[in-house]
This record gives sequence, C-alpha cells and structure tokens, in this order.
Amino acid sequence: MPILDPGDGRASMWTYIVRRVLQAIPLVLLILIINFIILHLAPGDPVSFYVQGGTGVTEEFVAQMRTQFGLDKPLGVQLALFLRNAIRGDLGYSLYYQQSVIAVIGARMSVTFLLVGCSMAFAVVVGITLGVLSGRNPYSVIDRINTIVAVLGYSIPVFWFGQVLIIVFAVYLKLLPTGGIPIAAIGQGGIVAWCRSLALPTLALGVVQLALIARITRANMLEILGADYITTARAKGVSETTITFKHALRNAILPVLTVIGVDFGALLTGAMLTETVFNWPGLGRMMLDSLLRRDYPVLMGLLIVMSVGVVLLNLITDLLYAYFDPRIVYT
Amino acid sequence: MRSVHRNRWLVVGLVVGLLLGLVGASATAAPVTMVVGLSADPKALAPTDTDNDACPAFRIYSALTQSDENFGPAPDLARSWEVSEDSLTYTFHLHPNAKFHDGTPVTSEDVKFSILEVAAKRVNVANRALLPSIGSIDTPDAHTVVFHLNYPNPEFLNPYYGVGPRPTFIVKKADWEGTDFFTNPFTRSPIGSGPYKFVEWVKGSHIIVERWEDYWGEKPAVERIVFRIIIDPTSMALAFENDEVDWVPYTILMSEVSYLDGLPGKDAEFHGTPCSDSISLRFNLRREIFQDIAVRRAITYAINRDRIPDLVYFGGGIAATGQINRTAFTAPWHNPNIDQVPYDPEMAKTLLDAAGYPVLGDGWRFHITIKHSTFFPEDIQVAELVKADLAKVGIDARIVSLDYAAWIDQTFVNGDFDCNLSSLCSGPVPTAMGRFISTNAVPVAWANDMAFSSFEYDELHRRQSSEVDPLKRNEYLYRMQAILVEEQPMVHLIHRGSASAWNSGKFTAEPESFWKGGLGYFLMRMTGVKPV
Repeated sequence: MPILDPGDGRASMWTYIVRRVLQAIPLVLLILIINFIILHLAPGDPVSFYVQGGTGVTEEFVAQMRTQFGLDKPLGVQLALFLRNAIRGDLGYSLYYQQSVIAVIGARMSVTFLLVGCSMAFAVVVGITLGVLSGRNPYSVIDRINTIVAVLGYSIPVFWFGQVLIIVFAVYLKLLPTGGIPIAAIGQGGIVAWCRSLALPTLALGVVQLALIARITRANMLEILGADYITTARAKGVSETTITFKHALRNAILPVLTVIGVDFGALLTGAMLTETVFNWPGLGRMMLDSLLRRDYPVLMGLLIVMSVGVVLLNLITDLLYAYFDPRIVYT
Repeated sequence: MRSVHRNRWLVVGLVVGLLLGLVGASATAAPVTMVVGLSADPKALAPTDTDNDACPAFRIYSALTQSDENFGPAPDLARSWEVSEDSLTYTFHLHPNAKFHDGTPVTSEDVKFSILEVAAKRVNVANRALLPSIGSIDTPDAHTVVFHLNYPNPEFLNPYYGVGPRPTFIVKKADWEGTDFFTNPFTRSPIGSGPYKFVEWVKGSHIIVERWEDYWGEKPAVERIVFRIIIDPTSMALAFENDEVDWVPYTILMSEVSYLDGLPGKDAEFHGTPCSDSISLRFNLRREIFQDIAVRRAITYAINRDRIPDLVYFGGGIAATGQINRTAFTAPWHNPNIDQVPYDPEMAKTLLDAAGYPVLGDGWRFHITIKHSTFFPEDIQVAELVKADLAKVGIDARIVSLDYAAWIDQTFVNGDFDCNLSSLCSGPVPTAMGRFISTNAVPVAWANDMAFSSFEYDELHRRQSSEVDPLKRNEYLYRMQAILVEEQPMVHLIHRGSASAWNSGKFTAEPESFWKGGLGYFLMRMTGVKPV
C-alpha cells in the first residue's frame, strides 16, 4: 500500500486519512446540533425529573433549578455555549450524577468497548468460519446448520434471547452469572471472572452480527469458488485449503468488511438492550437512563463519543479494504 | 541416591506448604456479606434526594433518630430527647462517643449545620415538610441540640418526615461548609458516622460499604454490604433466584412473588411501604366537562375496581376506599368509614344522560384521554381496564403513554390532560395529604395536578398540620379523606403494596418488619440482621 505520495495523482494513505477526518468534523457537528435541538424540544426537562415535589415545592424553587442548570437561556444560546465548551474539551456537568460528563462517561467507556469488541470478535470468527464451511460445502449438514443459525440469529429479539440465556446457563445450569461485571473488591476479579461475566452478553449481542456475517460470507464464497481462476488453481493442483483461504476468502471478505464496519457502529449504539438485560454498566444503558432523566450534558457527551466512534470505524474499514485489495487506491 | 533424598525433602516441603495454605485459608474467613439489589443508580450518597440514595446512605450516615418496628422514633445519634409541654422545644442529647469515620467527634454544630444548611438546599420532599417548622437551633454544648419550633409539628420526631433518616443525615460540617453541595466530592465518597464505612462506588454497577470496627453504637453482624444496581426487574428476580442477591427491597416484580416465595430458602412478600401508594384516575378540573360532579361520579360508577388487584397486581393490592392506602404507616389515621361509590354501570349511564351527555351518532358520549407514565409498568394495564369499563358506558378513552419527563411536563407542569393516571403517596404521615390543598395547584411535579380547590379541605389541613393531640388531629384527617370521596376530584382505584424478597436461607431479620414492612430500606438499622 502506498505510504508516501506515489506521485501519479493518487493520494497517500496519510493524506487520505487527514481528508476523511476533516470531512468528519462538520458531520459530527451537524449530528450534535440536530440532536441538541431535538432533545431540548422534546417535552420535559431535567428539572421535571430532578424535582420530586408533592408539597411545599414552589415555582420559584423550580425556576431557581432551571437557572442553575442553564435551562432558562434561549435555545440558541444554550447550543452556542455547549459547542464553545465542547471545542475546548469541556463537555459540561451531569445534572443527575453531579460530576463532569467526561468523568461519568470515561468511567463506563471501557466496559462498553469490551463488550462490543468481544461481541464483534465472536461474530467475526464464528460467522466467517461458518460462512466458509457453508460455502465450501453447499447444501450439506453444516450449510443447513448455518442457515438455521442465521435465520434464528437475525430474528430473535436481543432482550428475549438474553433472558433465555440467563435462565438456561445461570439459573438452571448455574454455570455463569446472571449479569453484572465482576467486583474485584469482593474477590471476583481476574480474567476468568471477566470471561464468565462476558460470555452471555457477548453471545446475546453478537448473534445478530454472526448471522449476517455468516450469510454474506457464504454467498460470497459460493460465487468466488465458482470463478474461473479458482478452477485454474484446482487444475494446477493447488490444495483446497490454499484455494479457500489464500485465493477465495481474501476476495470474499471485502463485502464482509463493510458489514463489520457498519455493524460495529450499530453495536456501539445498540448495546443498550443487552446492557439492560445483563446489568452491564456501559454507555448504552447510560444513554437510556440519561434519556429518561433528560440529562442533556451526558446525552450530548455520549453522542459525541458514538458519532466519533462510528466515523473512525468507517475510516478503519475503508483502510482495511485497501489492505486486503491492492487494486483499491486512495483518491 | 542424592536425587531421592532431594525429592523426599521436596515432597515434605510441598505438603507443609499445602497444610499452611489450608490453615491460612481457614484462618482468614470471608466476611459476612449481604448483597442488596437496587433498582437504580443513586444520584448521590448524601445529602440524599431519592430513595435509591437513602438506602446505602443510611448505612454510612447517622441521623438523630431511626425508626422502631412500629414506625416510631428510636435513638440513633441522639441517645435521648425531651419535648417541652407546648411541643415547641425539642432537646436532643447526642451519644458522647459518636464520631465520624475519620475519627473526629460528632458535635451539635455538625447536627445544626446538616439540618439548617445542607438539608435545606436539597429538593427532598421530606425536608420541605420539616424545615418550615424549625425556627432556630441552639447548641449549648457539644452534645446537646435544642430545636425551637415556629409551631407544633406533630411529625417532628417521625423517622420519615421529621429528624429521622429520610430528610436529615448528619454530615461533618468541616467537609461541607463553604462548598457547593452539588459538586462536593463527599456526595460520592462520603464520610459519615454510621455503622458502615464507604468503600467503593462503581456507577451503574455497585456500591460497597464495610462495617466500621470503631462504630460507637451496636455493631451489626453483617460485615459487608454490596449494593448491586440492577435496573431491569426481570434480571433482578433472576439474580435473586440465583443467589446473587440476598435482599431485594420494594422492586420485586409482583408477578414473581408467589414463585420466588416457593423456592427453598427464599421469602417474598407483598407489604405496605412508607409511601403507601394509592392509584387514582385524576380529573383535570380546569376542563369544563369535569367541572360537573355528575360526570365525575358517573365515571366512578362505571369503573369496576374490584377486578384490578388480581388482574394487574397478582393480589398485591386492594380496591381503594379513598385516597389513603391503609398500611402499617397510615393505619393510625386511616378513615375506614367513608361511603363508597359502588360499581354500577347502569347508574353511570343514567347520570351521564341526565348531565346532558347522551350517546351520539358515532356511538360515544364524549372522548377523553388518559395519560400515564411508562415509568410505572403496571399503570398501562390499569389504564386498559379503565378504558374497557368506560367504553361500556359510552365514553371513548384514548390512552397516551409517555416517558416520565414528558408525562410530568404535560400533566403536572402544563396541565395538558383530561385524566391523569398514576400512583400517589398517601403516606406515611398526614403531611402527604397537603398535596391537594388549593395553594399546591402549581406547575410542579407531583403537586395538585387536578387544580382541586376546597376551602374546607384547606382549612382542615392547616389545623391538622399543627395539632399534636392525636384524637383531635384524626377528626380533621378523617373529614379530609371523606371530602376527597364526596367531591370526587379523582377516582380512587387501587391501594397497592410493593413486593420485597429476602434470602432467608442466609440471613434472618429481627424484627421481620425490617424487610417485610419496608422499614429497613432507609429507616431502620441492620442490627437485627444476622447470618443463618
């Protein structure tokens, strides 16, 4: 892959990356502005959640709360202040947790990335494996298993599947915990404890992506294994293993990369159901809680994290494309 | 020969090491740990705003009083107290050995500061009942606190609305004076004077407290408490069933109570709570149609309340007899003699016809909306049953489900609703009835959303707020409850309880009301909880 400027009108990788990052900035800004407006226009505000009245709570007190939270300013002013502070790295203060947004999000970011990373790794490894096996052996038993897994995996609601997993593996078989992260302070730390805690949420979250990856890999493998150059390779006596992994899979993987890139972003934003069922204290659940509480600063902070994450993942996907396919050039 | 000799010593060394390891392991027994399930992340660990804050906070902090098993005041930080004849002066004597977890003594200045400064700046509704009655606080010495009240406050010693754990945790003045109470780091890493010290809080996951070995009072048997935050009620029930949670206060799914109670070593029960929830369908009296009491009475006749407890609450509730849910907390002043409006759909039709609302060409007399919040999962089911009953008498009710903040905004704040369905706290003390006074018809969450106004009701509430004679006070309270049924600003639907679960195979509680009565959650010390 070209690293330095190749001098023939094509862009180097670094130029390409810089251009994509610069293009992403206005996109992220637009996402933030639109969501800021939508959130603030939705009925209810943090004070609605924060002030538990009943008797003796006056309108003056509520107004004082609104002023304290900056909600008495015009929407445009609030937006401008938010953007100004965000550019300076100050994402504000969580109205519910009374801590800086960066501290609140930072404390939970790692567990979400861990869950999403494990789920995607599981989906990629198992999905590609199933897809390759199915592609090499169409209409065999393994292919039919792949089809069943794909259909079920894509259709099953995550929250229902998650609770079934808990009932089977935790409650009945008592092999795994029902949820939550290991608590090191009471002797639950260590890699084994983390693996046990991750097993079920990884399976629940990753099964949809697994189904998609397996089917796309199968379809691509079937198409490529029927190509002329594969026939030629076989005629030359090349082993099936080499044909599968060196010649066929490398071409079949390209559309799968696109799916992985898109799904990674969906996983990042869509983990809230899994995190709720499995009591996983990650960003997805935080987004749901913050939405119900109208904790605007945390919501905007999460949007920044997730939109930047999706943009980066798409960029990485495009770079991987060029790695796997030397015919692809940057422009 | 030499290798055999070496190997022999190797084996001896391994055996000795193994034995030492076993001895060491048995000598260091795991601490007695109780896992408590919380349904939401606390906002802070003091001063507290919500019930989820109060449960872990009351392990860490002290208050002047706690609750006894009859919801009366019992000593906590205050060893004893006296009340003047006119009930305007309360003198508390603090434990002389009371100290904070950092070793500094708890003094009367800390108590005064905690109540007048810290509690006053929080939005906790219980504070707002207590604080207006306090005129001044004197601290004649380091262990004496004297309250001078503006008027007699019959709930001054109440654990929930008085100087008990709910409104007033005692914090260290030096840690809080001059700071922003919202950003003070001690809200998240508290130093208190209670039987447990704060260890760790991982947001969204857990809070850990450990028994403080230098505690000045009676030390609890449970050495460590882990509060696990589990927001999904199904996951909570599964964690309890799987022995991952020992005590689930208040938030066990009602549909799971009988199943969990039948498991060996597990108990689950319905019980009343301090809030004493009462579900009602409240009319927006600003709307012309509901200004006619005949319409309101007709709707009451139309609704079959008796079928709701079993269909929705699995037996964890009863048809309401008025606004006040009769629980252990409200029993002393609950009025059992209010004339009820029975289920009679034919009477409903007659009243509506007479009121000028006949059935029209579209088959309906009129159309209304019933708004509720999805925050309370059973409310939608109650709304569906009400809708079905109203349809039988020709009223078309459209159900509007809203998330919590939107629901508060549309109903309480903006008054944009026809009927508002939700539970309201009817206890634990009569102060809760002040919700319906006319001056509380303000655009604030949980205020008088109906805009109900009754001069008699307002006057009775004013009198009962400062009446210390319980018999006289009950006269006022009984009449207030009767007015709410006679005037019919709402349809009283259900008195519901909550459900808690307890791992009786691992722990016992003395008294049992610690968990069965909902007192232990945030009002009573854990000294009666012991491992089996």
